[in-house]
Amino acid sequence: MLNSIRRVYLITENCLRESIRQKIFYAILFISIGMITGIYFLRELNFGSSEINFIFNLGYGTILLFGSILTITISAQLFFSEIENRNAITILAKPIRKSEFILGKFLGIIILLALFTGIMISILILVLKFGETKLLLNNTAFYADERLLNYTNLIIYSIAQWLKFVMICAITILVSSYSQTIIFSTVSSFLILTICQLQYLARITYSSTDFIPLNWFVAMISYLFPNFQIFNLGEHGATSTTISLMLMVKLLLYTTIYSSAYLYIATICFSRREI
Amino acid sequence: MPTPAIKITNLIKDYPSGIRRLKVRAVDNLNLTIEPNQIYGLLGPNGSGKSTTLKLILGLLHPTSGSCEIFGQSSKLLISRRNVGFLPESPCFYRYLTGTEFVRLAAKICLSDKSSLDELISTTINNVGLKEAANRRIETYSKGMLQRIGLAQAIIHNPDLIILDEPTAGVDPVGAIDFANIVLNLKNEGKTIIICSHLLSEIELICDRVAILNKGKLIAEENLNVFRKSKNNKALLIENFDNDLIDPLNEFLKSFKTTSKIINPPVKRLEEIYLDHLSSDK
Repeated sequence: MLNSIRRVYLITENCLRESIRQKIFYAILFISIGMITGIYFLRELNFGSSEINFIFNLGYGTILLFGSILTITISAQLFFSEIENRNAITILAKPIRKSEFILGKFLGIIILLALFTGIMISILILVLKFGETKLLLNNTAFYADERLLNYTNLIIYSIAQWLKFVMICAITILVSSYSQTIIFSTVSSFLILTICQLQYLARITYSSTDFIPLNWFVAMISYLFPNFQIFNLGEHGATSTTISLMLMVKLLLYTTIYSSAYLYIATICFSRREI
Repeated sequence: MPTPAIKITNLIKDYPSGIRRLKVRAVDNLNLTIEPNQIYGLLGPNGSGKSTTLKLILGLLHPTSGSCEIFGQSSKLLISRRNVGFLPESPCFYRYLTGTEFVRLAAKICLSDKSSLDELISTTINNVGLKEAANRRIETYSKGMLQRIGLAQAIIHNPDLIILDEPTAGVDPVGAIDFANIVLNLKNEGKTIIICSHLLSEIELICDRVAILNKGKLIAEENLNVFRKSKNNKALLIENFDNDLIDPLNEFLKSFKTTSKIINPPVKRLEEIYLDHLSSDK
């Protein structure tokens, strides 16, 4: 058991080192930083919403969009580069299980995603804090000494986003474990991401229908694909009250169950695959 | 009798092919026993099942039927790979790592004892002749250097069985000779080495025993010396031999109404043996 953990740790460490040295990571990171810092200057285009919520919503959306792109591209790229460069065959010829290899890659990528989410939310908090301080200074009589933002919530939102990225990573690894090309993996993962993001609409639309096969089909889809809508805690807004710990535990469990199932299937597919 | 380094019994591997998933047989009822402490050459044309056989030995593929053992342990078991080093064909490895970092990763995966790891890595890299480039990124390595670092990662944990898939493909002649010397040294240390290669001249220089595969089947297996002498060849040493004498001597031999003739060199080249077996298999 200890040896197994040691081997997973080695693969994780190496995967993290590899992913941090990928150009695509820095490209997406810098574009995202540029977007979030640029939001402050776009606050005039707030379409009627409050200034702080406008900055928060756009920043939160940026993390979601670029985080998803980063997750899918880097997961697919790291998986296929292992096979194309014959690293997988070199490493797996050593006393290491395919399940340990898959788990190590997965952990390496999700640590990178935690790093990305952490950097993004830190910058968003800085931008929001700047906006909040300016707003308070300009309206001292109206707001007195109170703060507008709930910073604990912002951190919780980012954790929820990261959990979503963890699931997207597990899905991409699953698709890559049987797919033959990186393009197929990437496109399929984006399609599955869309299904996961929108499946709640299908459930709402068809849950009341009398057509039983359609009910079953929708139920099956909702079990096969996780509902990403439950991770969008950011819809509560930047100034809402603190989110309950129980909700976060539920999200963590949901992510663990789905990710474990996807990685288990990925290991089976990868074991049968010729590398 | 020592435990064979590798024992393959009735090994079959089928691949599904195309939309109809028709089975293509890559390895067809292969039986092979490789004794320890020898250099064993695995030969065959493209698609003959050499690489698939190696992957089955390493447990990277599941056989359709049959079994494979490494030093008496099933190759399906993780423990069987602790004593095996493998250099794949045309590797690129982790381009962002330095040679030392890559060998360290391999060592950490294979060895639980971390004491004197630095010294072991340094010695192994020196042994494969890569001391100068050890701290350079792998992406800057030439083909020959890649093969050397590949060999270093394969032998870092001092395995008894070393499997080399096309180890000198694309390597210059001097590098290939260096590589052959390293392999011979490993044999002298008591290792068993399996070499899968198309470069028959190299196999001929260093291998003790060869097997020829075709269409997944074993069509010949013998000690190289026996192979060479299998047609009653005799070598006569003649001092100051004049090459112009070959034709008259052959005419002379013909006059005895035998099939004897002078061949040069006196032993059969492996290339001839290889082509003979392949053509007779067709």
